[in-house]
Amino acid sequence: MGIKKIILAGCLGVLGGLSLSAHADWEVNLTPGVTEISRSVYDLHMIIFWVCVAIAIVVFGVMFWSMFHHRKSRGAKSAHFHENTTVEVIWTIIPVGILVAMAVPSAATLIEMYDPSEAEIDIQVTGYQWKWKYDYLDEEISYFSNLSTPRDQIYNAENKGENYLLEVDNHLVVPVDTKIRFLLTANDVIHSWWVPELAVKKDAIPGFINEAWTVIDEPGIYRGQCTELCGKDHGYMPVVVEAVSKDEYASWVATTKAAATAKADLASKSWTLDELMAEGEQVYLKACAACHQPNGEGLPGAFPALKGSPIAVGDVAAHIDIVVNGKPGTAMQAYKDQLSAVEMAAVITYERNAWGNNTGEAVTPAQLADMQWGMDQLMATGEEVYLKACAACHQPNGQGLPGAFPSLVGTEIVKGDIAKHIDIVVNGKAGSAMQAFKDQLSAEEIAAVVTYERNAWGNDVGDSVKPSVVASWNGGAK
Amino acid sequence: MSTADIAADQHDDHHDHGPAKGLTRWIYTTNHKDIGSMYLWFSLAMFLVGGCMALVIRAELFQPGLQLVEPGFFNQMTTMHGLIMVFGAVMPAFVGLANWMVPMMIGAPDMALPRMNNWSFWILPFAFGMLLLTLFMDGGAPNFGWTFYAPLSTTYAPPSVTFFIFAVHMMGISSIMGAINIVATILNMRAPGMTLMKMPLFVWTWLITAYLLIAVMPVLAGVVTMMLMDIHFGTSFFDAAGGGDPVLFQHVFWFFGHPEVYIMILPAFGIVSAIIPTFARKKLFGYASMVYATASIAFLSFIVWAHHMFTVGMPLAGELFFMFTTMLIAVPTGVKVFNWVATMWRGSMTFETPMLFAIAFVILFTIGGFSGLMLAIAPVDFQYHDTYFVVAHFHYVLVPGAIFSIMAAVYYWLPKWTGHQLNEKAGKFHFWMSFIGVNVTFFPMHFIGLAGMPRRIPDYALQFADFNAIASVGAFIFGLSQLIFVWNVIQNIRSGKKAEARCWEGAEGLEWEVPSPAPYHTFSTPPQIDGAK
Repeated sequence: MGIKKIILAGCLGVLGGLSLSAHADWEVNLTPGVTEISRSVYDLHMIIFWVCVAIAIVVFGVMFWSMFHHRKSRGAKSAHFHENTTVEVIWTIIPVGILVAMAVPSAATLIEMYDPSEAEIDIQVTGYQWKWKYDYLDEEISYFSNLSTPRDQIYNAENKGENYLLEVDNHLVVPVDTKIRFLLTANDVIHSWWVPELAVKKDAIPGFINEAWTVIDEPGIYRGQCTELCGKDHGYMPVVVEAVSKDEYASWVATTKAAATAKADLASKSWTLDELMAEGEQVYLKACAACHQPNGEGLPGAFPALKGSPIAVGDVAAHIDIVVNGKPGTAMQAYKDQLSAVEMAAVITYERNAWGNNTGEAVTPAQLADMQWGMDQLMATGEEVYLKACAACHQPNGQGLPGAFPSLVGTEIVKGDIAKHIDIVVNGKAGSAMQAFKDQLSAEEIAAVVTYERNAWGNDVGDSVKPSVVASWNGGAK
Repeated sequence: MSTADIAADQHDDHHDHGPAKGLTRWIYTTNHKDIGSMYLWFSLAMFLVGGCMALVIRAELFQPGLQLVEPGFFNQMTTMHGLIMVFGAVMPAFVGLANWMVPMMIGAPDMALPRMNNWSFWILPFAFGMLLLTLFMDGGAPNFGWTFYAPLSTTYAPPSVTFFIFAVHMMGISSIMGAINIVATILNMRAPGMTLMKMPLFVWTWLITAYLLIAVMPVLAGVVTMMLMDIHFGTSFFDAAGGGDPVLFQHVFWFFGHPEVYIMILPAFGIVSAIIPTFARKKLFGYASMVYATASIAFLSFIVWAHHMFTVGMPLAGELFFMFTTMLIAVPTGVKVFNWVATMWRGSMTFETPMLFAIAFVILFTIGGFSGLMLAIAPVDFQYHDTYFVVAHFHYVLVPGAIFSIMAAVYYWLPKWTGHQLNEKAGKFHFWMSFIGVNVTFFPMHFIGLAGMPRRIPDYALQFADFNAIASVGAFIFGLSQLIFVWNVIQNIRSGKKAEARCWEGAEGLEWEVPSPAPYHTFSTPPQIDGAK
């Protein structure tokens, strides 16, 4: 390594004299990383580097010797030799030999990387413009990982932190000494997920799933970035992997799951306009401001303004729809997979009241949840739920089994008062085979199945039930 | 090579065939020298425009944080810089050199298809005018990188993408016609006795380059047409939701893109193979092996494309195949470098400006070749891919590679074009500033790439700050030193000591048999090649 230091010092000396800012790091080489694969990659890198250095010394050495000695000013007379088959064969064969010697270990490492053996943990990594989503497939843990560097640091209004641009709100937490498989895909454009210390870089391609794997040896925090140009904020979607011991990982899984449940409860809380505005601003800056800008004015021609726009001050249903479902064929994503109902309600409320939009309208999480449930959606889901939960008794055609299970076609319960209908599904009918479905079905599923029953088989009552109504039913549903 | 009666043929018969006067000379011209000059001026203009964009990029990257431009505009700059330098600066420069030199080198009176030649050129200003005007459109210029990967360049592209596609079509038509013209000229219009294996290497490399162009420019046209269909006509070539595949785009693009890389370097090999023997006063060591090496590189360029895509998730067999074929390219490339060194060996060298650029080409292109060999190793490429290491690699082969060879060529043949001897002082000053600037700019990029900085980002983590600052300083040194070049060329056109027909002592070839400046029409009657080459 001594020679390398000298070469390096030489390079720096040439460039030197420049006194540069204090965060000097002068990192000049690849990291050996923290996995077996990353170390063999590093070794290969160093071998090929030194091979190149050796060839360079020979070739450039001959060239410089010749340039010094065979110059006209030193009286050199030009020789007349040319074309020599022996020499030409030799300088073809030797490089082939060197290449074969390089190819063997390279192929071996590559084959190791493609080891298909079973992994202990599967994590789906999804690239979004411009953030990552991690789904732990065996744990029902799923979250987004956003850049957490404050805007003021990027725009030089405050000092940059140590991990400037390489820090996120939610780390990808994984255990050490465990084979972890990453399943990579993307929601919009192609991204590429790279952590140098793991020597894992794989493209995340919309509509396809790529695979990569790693076994991390040492606990630590490993930082990387998206490496495929993915639009405006390509430079602002870092990857942060936190490797912890197996025990810590187990407790992290437990607390994360508990936190997710707690968050779900927020949806049923009643929200004031001020609370929604405060929450909405946070969400807006995280999820919307990159395109629509913090001042809501957008970027003309690329991203529309929200300030005073027909969407933000017009029909609330259209506003909710575009946030929930996105606008196909544009950069406007469907946020239903990214934000919770609370977050979407808050951000819509914020957009309708910030920057002088002042509609005064508050959109509640419950309203938002309902918006996602149009009649078609309710009927489609309702049929599925019916066939799963009801048809065994009431029969797929709704006619029941006379004497045992009542018919639902044209009868009082399905054509009459909707409150009674909801109540019997939610709370069941004591003393009969009719169970309380609040413990078995979600509010959405109950709303869907009640709607289905009231409109299928020629019942055609025409009304529908929103999940929020079911959720707040006496005793409530799950 | 000795030729008979050439100088005597140059006048008398044709003194009434001088150029027309005024602007119409340039619009209507079918003269290969006029068209060559226009290509070269156009290329210089694009080089300066693309260079300014590079300086915007480097100025923003001087420090971490956003200072000068927004990320969206930064992406437009990287995209336009790449497109303009590849299609507007390097390729037209080589076509301009071919126009000027190929007929004179093979003893032909002009190009085979002179009217088409005029059209090939005049398409370009419109294509690039349109491309540049997209900067002022709503949504801005193309911002998806010069490689324009779908779906970023289709579903998620700004409206200007349609104009970009049209511009690419126009450039493609221009290139294909230019290439057909060069093939037709070389195969049909060589002077009697000028067999294929007597042609200067510049002619050989351009012949092979022209075939590459004819083979792959239609592929580029195809891929942008598929984009156009996806954007406007409801197809789903690159959209998985409709049964397409975004990776298909990359395969088709790089099937064009890799031969394109050699389109930008093979003529450079030809130029350097002309200059080094001249200033070493010694024959090129292995003429035949240089021809075969060029042909091998051209052949291999068709079967290595997916080494640009090692991270897309190809099967193991694909990775191995493309790794091995890519490594193979090192063999013919090595043969070339060894040949140049063997030509210098025991020569009688002098170091005028063209020779300085040619030697810098050999050294720095070889460094770019080394990093290319490193990138060929697929498992390690996972670490290098899409980092500044790649940026360093391809700038080493394109700037001190292709661009230095073009500058060497201009300095080498300028006396032939203008009739004035070179201002060596200004030329050497330009060389040393460029040489220092290029290395200060691009060498540190190897380090920041290995340390983990992705390419195409407007802002970066703090550990990359120092080398980025150095690279930016180098970029401004390199950029500003090109003004010396512009000044030197203009001065040379306007004044200077009279240049002789063979203005370099060791120069050989038909172009040195005609007076300097070369008359408007040369070789109206073919020279005799006596075979004593």
